[in-house]
Amino acid sequence: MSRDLPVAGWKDQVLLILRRRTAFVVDGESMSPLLKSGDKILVDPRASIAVGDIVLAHHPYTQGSKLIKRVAEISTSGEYFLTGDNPEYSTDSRTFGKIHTADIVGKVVCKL
Amino acid sequence: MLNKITEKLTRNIETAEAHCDGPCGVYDPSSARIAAEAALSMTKKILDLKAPDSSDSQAWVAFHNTMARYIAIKEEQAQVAKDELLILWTDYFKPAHLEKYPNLHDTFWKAAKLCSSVKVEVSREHADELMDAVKEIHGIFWATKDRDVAWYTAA
Repeated sequence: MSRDLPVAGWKDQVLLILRRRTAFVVDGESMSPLLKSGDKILVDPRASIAVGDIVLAHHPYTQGSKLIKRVAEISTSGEYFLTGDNPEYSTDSRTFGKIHTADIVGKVVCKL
Repeated sequence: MLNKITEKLTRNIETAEAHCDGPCGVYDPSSARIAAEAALSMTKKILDLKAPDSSDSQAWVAFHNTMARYIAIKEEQAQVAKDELLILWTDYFKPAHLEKYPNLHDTFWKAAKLCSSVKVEVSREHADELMDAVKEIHGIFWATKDRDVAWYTAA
């Protein structure tokens, strides 16, 4: 588990061009200080996910909205408990419960 | 070259939301306190308002008008207090707070019930109890933020 996130290198950029990575822009401060509002990140939809990883997930109640949070726990049934690094500014699994595997978009692998 | 392509590919991209549902972190029990205090003030005014001694119609019109205004404000402010408490309860407080304050749900539930009582009745006792409940919530709220904020009232 790493609290850090690498900066994208040329390999990540090539993978973005090849559409093996998807870029998103962060909005909000729930992952501060690691990720600030306006930071761009790359998501790998195929990467395996472990506790401590940062992931992108579909919001369980707001259609079309995607959340960026850290995996605090993975249950034996494969459900993810997600939290923000900055809990005071975060609505996460403490409020909306665990997220199903199907709602995980991918792992945040680096920032641009 | 690679950087230029990356920049172009990341110009209009989707948002990854990293925020809370409400106005981020801006919670304060003082808004509930102001409304509860206004409801208490109106309760006192209703109880103190004297009916006219005479049968003068103008005096009775003025009495009913004043009474109606006091009642309307009491009803409105008791509801505002309830809404503000419910926002704190459901949006600010998290399960971690409940572990530290196991009577949290009971405190909010009773406070919300008191708002309803103050709204429906003209009870000085319940209006005072609501202020006590808001004071207790004020103490818990600021303790969760490790801040020593003294309780105060406007009156």
